[in-house]
Amino acid sequence: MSSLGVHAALAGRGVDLALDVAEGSVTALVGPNGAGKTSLLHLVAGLARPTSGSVRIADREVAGTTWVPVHQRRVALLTQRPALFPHLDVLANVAFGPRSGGATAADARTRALAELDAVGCAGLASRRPQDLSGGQAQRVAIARALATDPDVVLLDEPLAGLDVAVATEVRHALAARLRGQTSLLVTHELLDIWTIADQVAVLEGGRVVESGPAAELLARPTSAFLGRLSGTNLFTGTALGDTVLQIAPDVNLHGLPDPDQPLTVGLPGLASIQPAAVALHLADPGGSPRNHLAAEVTGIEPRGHYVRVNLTVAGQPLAADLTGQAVAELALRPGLRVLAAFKATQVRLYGR
Amino acid sequence: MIRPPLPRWLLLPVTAAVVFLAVPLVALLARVPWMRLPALLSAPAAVDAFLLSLRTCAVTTLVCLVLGLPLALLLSRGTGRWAAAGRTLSTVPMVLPPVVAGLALLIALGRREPLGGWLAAGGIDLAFTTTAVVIAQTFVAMPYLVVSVEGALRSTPDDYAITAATLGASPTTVLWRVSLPLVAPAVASGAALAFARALGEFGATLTFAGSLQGTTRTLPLEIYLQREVDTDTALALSVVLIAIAALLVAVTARFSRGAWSRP
Repeated sequence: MSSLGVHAALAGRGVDLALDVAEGSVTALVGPNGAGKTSLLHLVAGLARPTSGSVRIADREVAGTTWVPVHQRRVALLTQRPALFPHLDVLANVAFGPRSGGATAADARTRALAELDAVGCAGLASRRPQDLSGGQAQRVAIARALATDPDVVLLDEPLAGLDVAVATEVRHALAARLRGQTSLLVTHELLDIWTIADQVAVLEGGRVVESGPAAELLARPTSAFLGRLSGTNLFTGTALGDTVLQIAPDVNLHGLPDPDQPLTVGLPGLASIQPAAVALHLADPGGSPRNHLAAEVTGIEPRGHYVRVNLTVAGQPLAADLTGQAVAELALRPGLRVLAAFKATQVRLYGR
Repeated sequence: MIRPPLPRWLLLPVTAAVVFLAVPLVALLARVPWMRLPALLSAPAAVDAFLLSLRTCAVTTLVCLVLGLPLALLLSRGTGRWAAAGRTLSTVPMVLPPVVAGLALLIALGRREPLGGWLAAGGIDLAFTTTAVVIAQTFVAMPYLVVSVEGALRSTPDDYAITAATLGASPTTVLWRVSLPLVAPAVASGAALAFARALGEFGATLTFAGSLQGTTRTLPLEIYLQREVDTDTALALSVVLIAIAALLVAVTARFSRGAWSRP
């Protein structure tokens, strides 16, 4: 049963989205900037009117042939900014939703206290929003959003404004409070997907390009974006055998077949390889690795204890993680031609 | 942090500016017959003018709020040609010479003019009434409230109203419980400014409402009338206006400092 269905376009923004979400599931929306993630949230919240198509929430059409305004949609919206009302104390902020829904002052207060308690903020009830830390404010915002029993919770990078330690706390509070609550979560963090979401939808260029259970999609990503997000290199090509993928004319990758979704000869397939498994050489080293690919360096990014070297191989991107020492010894720089080598046992091949 | 200092020679024009602003006030206060103040202020004409000013300015401020707040709300959302036209129309009275404002009101609502004649036929005669005073004051004072509140509304982030709506608040609830409370400091300072402007109103009132003791002769009109015949009374009434002005400035400053900080 579908609890949320978006099949709608925003012509002006080049967005045409199709997504169905099962009741009680938390779906992470990922994709490059401008892919339409926030537009999708706006379509559901009633902050954008589709130029065609429809939006359904809990089997009620809210946009399409009818138009249900924001305040009648039973959605909750949580963004990077907690947006707590500065003229109300914390308790009144959380009680605002129930009060607007017609609850008595006493009932709203009881509900608000329960929601604050659930995010570990019961002690802050009489504080002013101005006196809260960023993490406290975001947790109060979570309590406020859930105090209205929304049909759908929409989260637009709710942890983006917090520093790492605080984000971790709030992430766990979110994960606990969103369990079983139909939600859409826009994020750029793999950790958010693992911790909070059970489904993933990848958006690119205003379309939903893939969606499904988070564990499956992250194990076998098919979109370049999800590949990057899950930290692995992804090559697309055509299967020549169950252990060989042709990624360009005369460029073959050797690997091991994924037992759950092996390649089918003649059909499109993917190869996944970790950046740490890629070695770079100036001349052909020979030796045991089955894969030696001509590559060109396109960029070098220091990342703390290692250096991410970006390359292109037969027109497809490849990332290699090296030590700073190795980068210096090879004198790597953009434009340099090198050989990328990796063992076939480090390459996982799977069908689409 | 120490900021790079301003050049010392700046003190020269600054001194000149301070002297320029202070000298007239000091000179006036020095001439006030302080001992006779209670007697001067309790004269019937003075009491009439004072009460009339307070009454009309209070009503004017109320009318400014009732009519100006909705206008400010609408203008703050508006973009494009109509909003620009509305904004211009609602700020013109600020820069219009008050006597011109009075003339415009006279021509629109005067007894012999089409609109005024139509009202008079319906039994509503505005000319030389206290209502005319309130109309003149509202015409010149409302822009101060509108500009102050519209600016505050524009600088309020949208996400408060959006969040309130997602929490189930109807547009009316959002207005009363979120949008207006958020700009309450600006409403207060805008109302104080409008009150102050109404209190000092002279040209439009004289032109449109005339100068009848107890009916249309407000404090500024009384001061103007007495300045030659009874300078002491004019000075005493001026002290009252200066005191009220100082109070309003303090109120305004208090509210602009107390603006909601945004977490």
